[in-house]
Amino acid sequence: MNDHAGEYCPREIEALADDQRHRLAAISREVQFAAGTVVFREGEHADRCWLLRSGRIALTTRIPGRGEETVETLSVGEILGVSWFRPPRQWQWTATAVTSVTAAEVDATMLQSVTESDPDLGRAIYSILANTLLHRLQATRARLLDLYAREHVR
Amino acid sequence: MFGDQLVPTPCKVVARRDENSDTSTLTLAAPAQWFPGFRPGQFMMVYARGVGEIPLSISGDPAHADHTVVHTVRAVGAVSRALRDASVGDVVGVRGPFGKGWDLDSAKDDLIVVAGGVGLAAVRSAVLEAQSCGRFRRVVLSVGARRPSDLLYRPDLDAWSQGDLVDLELSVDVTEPDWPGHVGFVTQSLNRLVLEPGRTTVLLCGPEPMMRMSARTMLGKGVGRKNIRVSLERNMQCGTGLCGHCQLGELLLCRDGPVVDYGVAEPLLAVKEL
Repeated sequence: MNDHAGEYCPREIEALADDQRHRLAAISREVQFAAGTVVFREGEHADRCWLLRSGRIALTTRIPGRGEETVETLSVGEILGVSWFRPPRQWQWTATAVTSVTAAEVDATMLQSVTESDPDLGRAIYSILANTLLHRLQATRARLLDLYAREHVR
Repeated sequence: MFGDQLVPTPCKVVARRDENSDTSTLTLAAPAQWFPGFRPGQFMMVYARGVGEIPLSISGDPAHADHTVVHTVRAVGAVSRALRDASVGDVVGVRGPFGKGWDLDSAKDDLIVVAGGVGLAAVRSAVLEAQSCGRFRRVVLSVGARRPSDLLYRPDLDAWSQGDLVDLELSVDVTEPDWPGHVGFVTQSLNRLVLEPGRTTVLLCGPEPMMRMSARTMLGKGVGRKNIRVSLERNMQCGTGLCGHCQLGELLLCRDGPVVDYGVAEPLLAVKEL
């Protein structure tokens, strides 16, 4: 399976002015996670987020009797980590690298500071967050429909 | 079209492969001078003797002209269960092929194929043709399933995942141990795609809500309605546009479909109980 690796970048970031992109880059750093690495654990303090450049991350939770269950995977171009955005700022899931992962890691405190000092950049960042949350909400609702379940016809 | 369009031709089951717990793929051999060929996306009416007849997509390779036809059938009712349970040597009746196919000749350079559940059966022949014709710059196949063990055509999926010709994305709603693929709805994979909308044609087949959501995702990426094609299914009976059971608005899907572009399908799918 391929992960459509490439230069995918959210449109809102591509649309930023150069100086804004530089400001964002200044609070970002490239990180790598080997397959199997736990990026964060459910319940820990949420103080960062990542833009995934390659590889795949699984969001999991532990269910008694069932072990660690994957609820969703994230891949290239997607945002990992939105729990920093609102109190209690705790990770709701455990994030584990399924494959080798590269990502741009952003410190959440610095990100909030930058968005407050530059409203245009703030709007772009929150637009990305809103799109991410909206898309995940809609996809989750679609999964709740259990669309591929057996239908009773002829 | 072969023989009488309204009279089933007896065809022997010469191969059977169980895809998962409720779905099997049957290879049917027809009498000599049959089979005249088909276009990807067309369907047959397949008759289980003494039980009834249902429409089934043709899921074989269009280039494989050896008087056989391949159907994948999921047991969801009496007829489909009888066909799914057919053994090698059994005889079933076949009429067709019927309907308009995916029309790959008019497709643009980049082909995005999206299939949900057993909908993969209706696009498999299109992917095989796209793979063999060499005309496409890029072929992406995005498949959604309930769980990994429900996925059809595992040998094909394995081959496509390792080859260069098809860019394969598999998504499941519910994971199982050792599943290396995506967990999520198929639109999430589509959302990640980087594409040139003016050079892209999208083929969609699966549950209607999945097709609507996938179509909207593609519209959001700038692909035009005319370049999004959906395979619709209604109550196909005669297969020839005579009986009217498969009417959807102004369309008789057995004749005017099952593949229609989203510009035509979108308003029809918005009408409750149409």
